[in-house]
Amino acid sequence: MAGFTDEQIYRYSRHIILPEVGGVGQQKLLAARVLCLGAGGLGSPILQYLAAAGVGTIGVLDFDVVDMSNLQRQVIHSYDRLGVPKAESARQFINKLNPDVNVEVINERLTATNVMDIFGRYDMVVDGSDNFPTRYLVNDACVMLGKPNIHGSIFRFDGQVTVFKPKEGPCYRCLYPEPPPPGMVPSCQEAGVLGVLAGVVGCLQAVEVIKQILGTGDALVGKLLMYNALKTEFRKLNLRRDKDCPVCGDNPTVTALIDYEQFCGVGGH
Amino acid sequence: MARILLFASIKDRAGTGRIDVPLTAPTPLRAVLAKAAAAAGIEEGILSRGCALFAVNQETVPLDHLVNDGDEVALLPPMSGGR
Repeated sequence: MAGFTDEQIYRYSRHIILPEVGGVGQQKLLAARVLCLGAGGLGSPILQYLAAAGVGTIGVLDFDVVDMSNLQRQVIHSYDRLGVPKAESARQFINKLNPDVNVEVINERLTATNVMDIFGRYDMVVDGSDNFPTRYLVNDACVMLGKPNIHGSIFRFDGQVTVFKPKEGPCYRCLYPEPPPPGMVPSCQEAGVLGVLAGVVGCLQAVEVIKQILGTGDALVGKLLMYNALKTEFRKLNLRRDKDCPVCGDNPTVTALIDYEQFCGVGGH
Repeated sequence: MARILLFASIKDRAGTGRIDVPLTAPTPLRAVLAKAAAAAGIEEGILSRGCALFAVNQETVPLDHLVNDGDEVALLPPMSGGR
């Protein structure tokens, strides 16, 4: 098969024999450039499975270090890497799993100053971030750059996944035009979270990333998949793009990045 | 009867995941939420503040959407995850 080493043909054989993937699909995966925001609860399964699938270039953006409380769910890190920057810890995990993957470590906080430059280097963004200012920043930058944004979020036993694809479906602001008042939505640290829920939701995000790369299957564009772990219920909601959305609507009023901390009413996050 | 389903932080704050609201006529969602809050003995703002996504029968709708008897109404707040 052209373009693969013998080892790759063997490594990816379970993909290559799938009609929906094949050698052509595996080449697409190897050529893909995906940015993963966060190497934490959602980032861990995302990075595991994108690396296993042979996504050729994976950017890992995280400025935090591995902490003991992470190990309840952030399964790419390890006890012997406590205190190591998470993006670097992620790189070490990925290198051991699949040396085909070129890992780009971005040990920085994402801001309005660096986002356009960073996002511009990738085909799509998969968002496993953990705060509202970042969610809005990521959304706006992806709309402005025309990049798919594979979104996942979790709370206790509930999770949600969707693909925000510019021009084809809604953006995050179409769903949530205003951020919640500070303190209304507790973080995982405050409210707790079932560790494995991050695994389920992150894996669902990884599936959507792979479908975007392959161009196959029904993407969760314009659809929100909800999962409740206690009731074992999945629900799919149909979403609509808001024609009057200030960012992705027919007449956008937000055409440049704003101060997202101020927008979300949080000071010095 | 309209079934109001609450998720994530809204479910937490309301103390329940489901509120049933009897309806005799198509009713704007806004009013249905007020009835739901009263039925559950909770402050109405809990259901409408904090920007939930509202979906009736799996389709997202605005607050003036007319809810019918037998409809399923889902209230989904944003989640950010993390930390």
